[in-house]
Amino acid sequence: MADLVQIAVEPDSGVAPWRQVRDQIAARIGSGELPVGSKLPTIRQLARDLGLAAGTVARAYRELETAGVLQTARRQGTVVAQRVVPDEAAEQLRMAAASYVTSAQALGFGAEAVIAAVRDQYADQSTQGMPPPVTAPP
Amino acid sequence: MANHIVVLGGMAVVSAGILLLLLWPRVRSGPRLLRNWGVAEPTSEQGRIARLYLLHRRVLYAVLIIAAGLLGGLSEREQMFPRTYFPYIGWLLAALLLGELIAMLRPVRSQVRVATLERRTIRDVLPVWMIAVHLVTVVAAVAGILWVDVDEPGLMPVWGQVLVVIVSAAAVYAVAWLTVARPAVGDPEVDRALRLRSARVTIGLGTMFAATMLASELYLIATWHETAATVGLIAQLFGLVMWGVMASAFAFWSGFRGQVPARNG
Repeated sequence: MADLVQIAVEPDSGVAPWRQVRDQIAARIGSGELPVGSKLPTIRQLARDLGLAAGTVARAYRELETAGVLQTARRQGTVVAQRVVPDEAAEQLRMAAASYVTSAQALGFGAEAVIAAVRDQYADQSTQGMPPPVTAPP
Repeated sequence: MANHIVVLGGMAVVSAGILLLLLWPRVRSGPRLLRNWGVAEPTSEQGRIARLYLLHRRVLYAVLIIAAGLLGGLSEREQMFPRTYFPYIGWLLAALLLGELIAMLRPVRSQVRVATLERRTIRDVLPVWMIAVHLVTVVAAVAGILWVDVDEPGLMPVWGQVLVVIVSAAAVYAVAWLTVARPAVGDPEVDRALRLRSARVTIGLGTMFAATMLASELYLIATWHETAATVGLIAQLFGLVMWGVMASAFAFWSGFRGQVPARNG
């Protein structure tokens, strides 16, 4: 029997199930286990298999569609549109941004102030001749 | 009336006990089922899951067959329903449908939930030739009922018999859809084997049901139509052979797209 590509979801892991689904599908595509053109299960099928609400899986698919990784057509259903290149640096940047936004919110700052602070930091470091750190914490 | 119900009830309980004893899956039944449907060397856990699958369905077989007997007995005495020929296979079909419905509605509660990123369709469990054979048999049964056209007082009207055949066909495809749509059971290997078995056994029974309905209609006119009896017998044998072919490892061998069967393969 051919190896089947699987994903596993732990509803009590603390990570939102839709995020687990999205990340694991992206990882399978990135590793080449799901090549471009592969047909993914329908939202209902995956939701039933994982014991999740259809909306949870739909959100994961929607996120991947927005990123251009998946494509949904009426006749073909959902297929892999392009390979996700694993980018550890981008993932670290995303996590750093999430952590920064959480700290800023705890201090009572809004989105405008947060973005302005990032711009200021960039400007300061540029004038000092330092390259902007990609993965440095804020 | 009350005495009649007590006697029927007692017979039903005894029959249910005997049936359950005969149908109760043994420890070896699970691994044997899996080997027949492509799992080369089932582990004890895989065997346990397959045995549980058999148990759920066979309990339903026993319950529905006994209910059918009770209903038949009461109906005959009280003339509750018009007489009709409804083969027992019909009750097995109903049990399979109920079994798959229950499997579909059973919630997934495990801590870690695993799913395969593979789209399942009815074509994965039923090859085209099986669908074609089944549909041809159903059409032949409907045509036979309409052609014989025996409408006697006390007998189910022709349209009712046609409806029975059509509902049986709908049940076959409902089971096929449910086997594809229900949540996974066990690991992917076991899950695939059980889905395959459910769909193939059901379409085999559905074909035999339609063939039996056709044969029973033809037997009604056998006394004054010589060839009807022969054609009826052929139809009955055809149904039996088709059931055997569809619900056997041979069917697995010939119809499982792109897969080499684990057994003898």
